[in-house]
Amino acid sequence: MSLYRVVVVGGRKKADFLANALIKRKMHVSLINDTEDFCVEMSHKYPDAIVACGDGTKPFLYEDLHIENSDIFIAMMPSDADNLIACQLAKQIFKVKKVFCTVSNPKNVEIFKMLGISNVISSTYIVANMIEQLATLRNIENYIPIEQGKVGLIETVVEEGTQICFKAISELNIPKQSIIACIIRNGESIIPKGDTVIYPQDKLVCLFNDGSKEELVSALCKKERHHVNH
Amino acid sequence: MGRISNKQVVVIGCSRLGATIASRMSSDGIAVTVIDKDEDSFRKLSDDFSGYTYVGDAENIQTLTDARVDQADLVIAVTDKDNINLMISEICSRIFKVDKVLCRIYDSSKEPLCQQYNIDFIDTSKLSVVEFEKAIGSCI
Repeated sequence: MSLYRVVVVGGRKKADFLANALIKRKMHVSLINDTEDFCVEMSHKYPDAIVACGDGTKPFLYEDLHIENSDIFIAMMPSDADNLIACQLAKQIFKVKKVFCTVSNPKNVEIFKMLGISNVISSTYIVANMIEQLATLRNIENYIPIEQGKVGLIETVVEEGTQICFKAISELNIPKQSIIACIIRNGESIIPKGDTVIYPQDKLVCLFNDGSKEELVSALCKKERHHVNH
Repeated sequence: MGRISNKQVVVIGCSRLGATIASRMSSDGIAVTVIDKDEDSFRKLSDDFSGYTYVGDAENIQTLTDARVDQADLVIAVTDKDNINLMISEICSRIFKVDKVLCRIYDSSKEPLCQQYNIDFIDTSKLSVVEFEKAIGSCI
């Protein structure tokens, strides 16, 4: 059986956390970092990992570590340009199967995609977006943007007295570009069909297209009329 | 001298090299914009430099857009970091579709990447080696 080979370049806590998780999954991990004391610490902590100290964008380091044909390459250096070049080297010259990188400037997610690096993660973007959504939408417990927010996933708990209580999915007036993908009831998950009835305290996991979010949330949270008018 | 041209040139990085290229082009009558993140570096431009200077970090695409790099006919990426020069060159040629992009690199081991992405590069360390070898050859 061939080992799954992962290369992690840059990052301190993130690299440490990732290495820990990957080694637990019996993967072969190579770490590259430009800080010597961090490298020493990592080599003591993970005796099975290969740790190299140096500039993570230098091809000779990749050659020394034999990263060619590795399964995954992850670049998490502070400079976006360094991450781009490292990923391109890994992908084009060293034929690594899958490359990931983080960026500090959220605009670079799109730019890097246009330059051929499709797995780009901007924590600034993800966190800012989550906070914005959680702060502006009441009753929403969780929000996950997919494809830069073109598609989104939300979790909401059905409140007592809302219009959707005791109604079947097919009777609901939710936007066309949205679905209730899953219902969590008493800890059990249900994949709903048109005749599945919604009860108070159900947790709904909904998927929607950009632009139908507000309409969806208001449909899910709208109170029964006599509750509003009392 | 005094050559009239309507070409727009952007030099990114006002290093010794960048400043000299920009100054020479400017005195040749070419419209030049120089970008650098440090305003002080523009002092290296010649006294008669008549182009534009733009302060900004070229690693940020907003700087490139604001300095209208997308309208340029020629972009010269000569910051002191190879990776930034390479990234700028890729953005200019592949996203902004600039006709001609030139990139300075110090580290010859990045050459395969330049070839892979059709980046026109000038490897300054290699050029120095050639010159040194010539000089050595003539005295030994």
